[in-house]
Order: sequence, then C-alpha cells, then structure tokens
Amino acid sequence: MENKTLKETVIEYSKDPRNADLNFNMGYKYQELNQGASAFSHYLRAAEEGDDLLAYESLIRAQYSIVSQKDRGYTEKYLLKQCIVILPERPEAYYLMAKHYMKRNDHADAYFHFKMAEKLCDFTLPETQPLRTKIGYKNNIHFYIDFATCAWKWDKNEEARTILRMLMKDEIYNSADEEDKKYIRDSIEEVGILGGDTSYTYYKKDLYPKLKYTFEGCENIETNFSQVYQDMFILFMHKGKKNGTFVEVGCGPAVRGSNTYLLESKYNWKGISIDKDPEFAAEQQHRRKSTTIFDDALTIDYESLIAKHLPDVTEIDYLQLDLEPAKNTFECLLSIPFEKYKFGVITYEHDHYIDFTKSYRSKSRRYLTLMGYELVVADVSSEGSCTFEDWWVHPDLVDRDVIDKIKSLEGVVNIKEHMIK
Amino acid sequence: MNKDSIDAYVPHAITPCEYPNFAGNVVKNGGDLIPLLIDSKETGGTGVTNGSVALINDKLHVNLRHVEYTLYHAEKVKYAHPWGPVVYLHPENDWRLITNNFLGVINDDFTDWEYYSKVNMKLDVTPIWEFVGLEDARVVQWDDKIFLTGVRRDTTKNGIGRMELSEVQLDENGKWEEVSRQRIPIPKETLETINTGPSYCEKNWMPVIDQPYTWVKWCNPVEVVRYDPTTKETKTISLDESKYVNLDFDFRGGSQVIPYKDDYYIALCHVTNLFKSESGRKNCTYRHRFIVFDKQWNIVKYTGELNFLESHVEFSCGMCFHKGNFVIVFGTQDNTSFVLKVPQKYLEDFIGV
Repeated sequence: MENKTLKETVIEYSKDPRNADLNFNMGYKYQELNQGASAFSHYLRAAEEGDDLLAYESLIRAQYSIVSQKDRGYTEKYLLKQCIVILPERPEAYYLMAKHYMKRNDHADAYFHFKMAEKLCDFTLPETQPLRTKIGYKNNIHFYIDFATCAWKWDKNEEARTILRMLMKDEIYNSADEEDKKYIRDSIEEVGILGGDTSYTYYKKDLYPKLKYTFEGCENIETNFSQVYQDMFILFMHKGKKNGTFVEVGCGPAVRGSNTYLLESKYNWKGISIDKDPEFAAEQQHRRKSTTIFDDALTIDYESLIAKHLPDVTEIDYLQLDLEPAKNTFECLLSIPFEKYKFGVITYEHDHYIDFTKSYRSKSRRYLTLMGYELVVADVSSEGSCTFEDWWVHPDLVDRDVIDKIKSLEGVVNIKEHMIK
Repeated sequence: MNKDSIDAYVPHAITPCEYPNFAGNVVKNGGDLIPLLIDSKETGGTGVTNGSVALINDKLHVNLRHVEYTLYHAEKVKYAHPWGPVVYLHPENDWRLITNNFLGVINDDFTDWEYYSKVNMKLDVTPIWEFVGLEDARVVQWDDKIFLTGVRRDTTKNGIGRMELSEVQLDENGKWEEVSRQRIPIPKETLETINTGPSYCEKNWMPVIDQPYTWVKWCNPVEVVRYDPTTKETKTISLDESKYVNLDFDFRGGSQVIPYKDDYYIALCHVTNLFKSESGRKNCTYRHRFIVFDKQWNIVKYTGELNFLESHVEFSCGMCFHKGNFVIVFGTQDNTSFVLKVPQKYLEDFIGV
C-alpha cells in the first residue's frame, strides 16, 4: 500500500468515490488508524464495486474492522462466509473462520472449516494470486499447524500427528520460517509424533507364513514387543541365537515397546537396561530379569558398567541407543567404548524426522562406519515417512548371508512392508 | 440516520442523483476536503457522523456525533447483511443505540483541535429507551451562550423524541460540560393545525443563527418556531401552508440556518428516500439540497439533490461561513466524518444566486 497520509488518500478518493481501488485504500488507511467503522464502510463499497478477488480481500478486512469493535461475532462470521461464497477455492477465509471458532473454544466448528478448506481449496492460490495486503493468513504451513492444533483439541489426535509428520518432511519444514519451525517442534514435543499404540507395528503369529526373514524358533513366537520389529531383526541377524547379551540405553517400557523383552523371555538373553525415567526403571526392575540402571545415560562410564555387569565379555550381541533428542543419542554414541567392545547389532535412533539440525543422522553414520560397523537397514519408519532409526551390524559378528538378505539402504523403510511379504 | 424513521418506508427505487459527487467537484474547484476523526481510544472505532460546525467568537466550533455502532449499508445490496442491506452493528448483548457528543475548537485548516472533549452531559438521567443521548446536535450561539440542540428520545418508555437545548461550557479543566438543559415543546399552533395530537418524534429543527431560540422546524411548507426560555412555551412565528413546493421527497432539516448577504438565509436540508427491496427489506438514501430563504421565510432557491461523496447515506448538521468559504461538516454512512470547504463563488454559482 502506498504511504500516503489520510488527507492525501481522501483527496484522491474524492475524485471517484465509487472506485473500488480507492475505497479499498480508504478502508486500509482508516484501519491503520483503528477507525473501524470508517474502514468498514469503504471496504464494503470496495467489495460491491470490485471484482471477486478484491471483494474477497475487502470483506476479510471489513471483518477485522468489526472484530476490533468487539461483541459483533455474528457479523464477523457472516462476512467470512461471504468470502467463502465468493472464492470457495481460496483457503484464507476458511482459515480465519476456523480461527474465529478456535478463539471461542469451539473446536468442532473450527475443525469443520479446516477440513472443508483441506478438501476444497487450491493451496497454491495464496502464492500465485496473492492478495494486496496481509490479512492474517500467514502461509499454508501455518494453516496446517493450526489445523493440527485444532484436530488435537477435538480429540482427533492421530490426524493431528499425521499433519505434524507431514510438516516435518524436509521440503516443508525447511521452507518454514523460524517461528513456524519452532511451533512445529514445540507441537511435536508436546503431543509426540508417534502417539499411542497405533504407531506401533507388531508381529503376530498368524503372520508367520508371510515373515520374510525367519530364524530358529520364530515359528513359535506368538507376538513380538518392539515398536518396529527391532527384536525380530536382532534375532534374524543372530539366527535365533540363545543366551545372547545386550546393552540397552534408553530402554523405555519393560515389555510392550521393548526391544529386548522377547530376547530375554524367549531366547534367554541377558544384559543391562538403562533409563533415567523412574517409571520405566521401576517397571524394568519389577518385570525383567536383566540389570536395570536408573541413571542419566550421558553421565555413565560404559566401560566400567559393562565390565561390572557383563564381565569377561568383549563381544556383545546387541546395543540399543535410543535417547531424545538426537543430539543426546549421538553424544551417548561417542561415549560407548567401541575400542574395547564389539556389538553384533546396533539399533541407533537418530530421530531424523524431528532432528531440527538435520545433522545427527549423517554424523552417526560417519562415526559408526569409522568404528567398523555396516549399515544394514537405513531410515526405518513405522509408516513410510518418519524416519527415526538405522540398523547396523558388525560384519565380524554377523554372517554375510543374513546381512545381504535383509539389507535396505534405498529410501525410507516402511518396516512392516520390509519384514512381511 | 435515525432508525425509527424506517417506520415510514414506502416502496420506491433509488432515484438518480443530480449531483452525485459534490465534494469531489468542490475539491477540483479550489475547495478542500478534510477527514475528521475522534481517537479510537475514545470511540472503540465505531461511527463518527452527523457533525456540526459554527463560527463562535471567530473560532470554528465543531461537534461530532459518536454513535456506538457501525452502520452496515450494502448500497448495491450485493453483500447485504443477513438482517438486511441496512443494519446497525451494535454489540450483540446491547441493543441500545448510544450517542455521545465530542465538541472542540478547531484551527482554520481543520487539523488541530483545542478544548476538545467528549461533552459531559451531566444532567443525564438513566435512559429508559434504546436511543440514548442527544442526537444530531447542532452547534449554535445565542445570547452569548453555546448550545447543542438536537433530539433526545431516552426519557420516555416509548421513545418519544423532542428537540432539546443543552447549554455547554468549558469546565475548569478545559473539558466541555452541559450546564443547563431544556426540552422544547411542540408549538400549540402546530398541534391545532395537524389536529392529530402530538407527534411521536420532533427532530432536525434547524437553529436560526441570528435569531435566538428560533428554529426552522420544517421546510415544506416552511414553519419557523420560537421558544421562550422564560415561559417555556414554543410558538409558530411563520407558517404558510399555501407555499408548498411539490417535490418527490420533502426537505428535511439539516444544518443551521445562516444569514446570507443582507436579505437571505441559506441552509442545507436533507432528503430521505425510504424504500423496500422487492423482497420487502428496508433500504434508504439520505441526500441533501441547499435551500435559500428570504427574510419572510419564502423559499427563493433550492438546488437539485446532491451527494457529497456518492454515499447512499450522508448527513450534515452544520454549515457556517468562514474566510471566504462555506464550511460544511458531514458524515457518510453514519461511520465517517468530513469537513468540506466550499469557496463562496463556487457555491453561489452552484445554487444560482
């Protein structure tokens, strides 16, 4: 908008008072001065005299002049409805309508407008046919951020997470500004990207005929317990080995979600489970036979710890590294005494999908490669998009035939598709 | 614009306006157009309209009517409000239409105010009707006192409107306050003439600047009334029913009536067209005409209908002559106020005097 004084704007307007553009300018100028009623009149006339795009923008701005006067919510909504009628393919008015409802904690009606926009709108239009002024629609990313928030508040938690996962895709996340990036990060931190059981992918015995990678005793497994088949992977790499050993950093739940419960309970493995969460540690102590360490994984002297609880061992069958955030997991990786111990299998959680530096996956890969490990399954995910883990082996401790059989280094792995025919 | 006047709706289309952009033409011909604002901290951004101006002791005094609503008027009915093309947007939990008056002294360029404040109507009592406050106040000085004279409807349970005369002064802090108030009765003569009992609402009486307590009560036929503050009676001092001008829409009150040259008075009147759409929804136009009276209160000239800025609702409560210009304060759409400085020669040519 041109930087004219109100007086100059008025004089220009007086030359053609029904001109749509001049009325819009008047509305804008009065709005800058918080003169809502004056702004309103001119925006309304701009809408009536202008083309659809100007009418759309004018009525949105007219709505703001009513918002500023307070307690006229019916009219605010009506003006936005008119905008939707004028250009139903544009997302801005739906978004503002949804925000109107969100302000009033009416998340169902807000959700309705987000969803209608998602279904009906061409989200390229704010870029390809931009409006003249800022009207409170920052960008499509922000639309989806608020959509996720709204869905969450209306108990559509998985839909909220799906949206957040979509926002975490590199091409979207990297295009967001710092404010939006922070909002996405905070949202993910608050709600958790994977959610409840629905993000877990369990093996059940009835899948046995379709199991791609079999090992000794697998036909007797009723169910596994890992989030994304890690326990089945470990056993496949070790060909169903019994009496194995593990070090589990960031062990989490004792049973459901555990990478070692199946190994311990059915294959008689033993090891060390570490977590600083007192609930997890207590559950481990109560339900598991292995040693539980309740401590901060970043402060532990692993050489002493392993020497104490797995004496006379230099080759350990499985190492789990699963801390949050990605920085901590990598820091822990650096403290593992690889010069003294070899690990047959490592599941390393790099959390790339929520690593806002996007650096720790590559750092960990470089480091583990230097330590002599081989990447076998890269970019594991539960659903094919949110890559959070790499699976490694030490080629001295795992046979080549199983490595080559399961190897996948091309793109994100949907683990169920990878493990089940 | 007054909401209750909508009761008088008759079916009528919007007629062509002879002079749709008077202000624009004035600006092109050496005049000036200046926006008038009240700080939104005091108004909440709602409408400021129906202003009045008077030259008192060589200083321009301007009163602006702040209405605590925004008028929604979809002039082309393209984006009409669900409640109609003309809707008063007041808070949804408060249906009153409240008026406040802001009075001040302004410089010749209409850019700097002094002694500018909301008028403290300290003689107000608790309103008992939904139209609250002194509406469409004209500024006038009579007997060395400054008055605001307009209609008040908040003193009866059914909203009967009567003209009032509120004397205002600056208080010790330089703020305007009301110091006396008189409710102006309808002249007995009028009651006898119309023979239908007292009217529901008397409004838009135009104060005659050089005749204390005198108003042009109605313009067609011209009825002039005078109030006696001592007896508190009003008398009709001029009315000739035979001098009726046959127009589609009557002249209604507008600005003050100001002396013009030695033998005439000049004023702005407003012209209202109240009509309904085909689907029966109320709509309206408010335009103006200049009108010239002689000293015997004959109408000697009147112009065609004009809009100041092509708005369908415009209203003025004030005009004065100042330093070679006629100065008019007017509002558009009940929401926005302007002052228009019209060079004397331009207006005389326009009126044809």
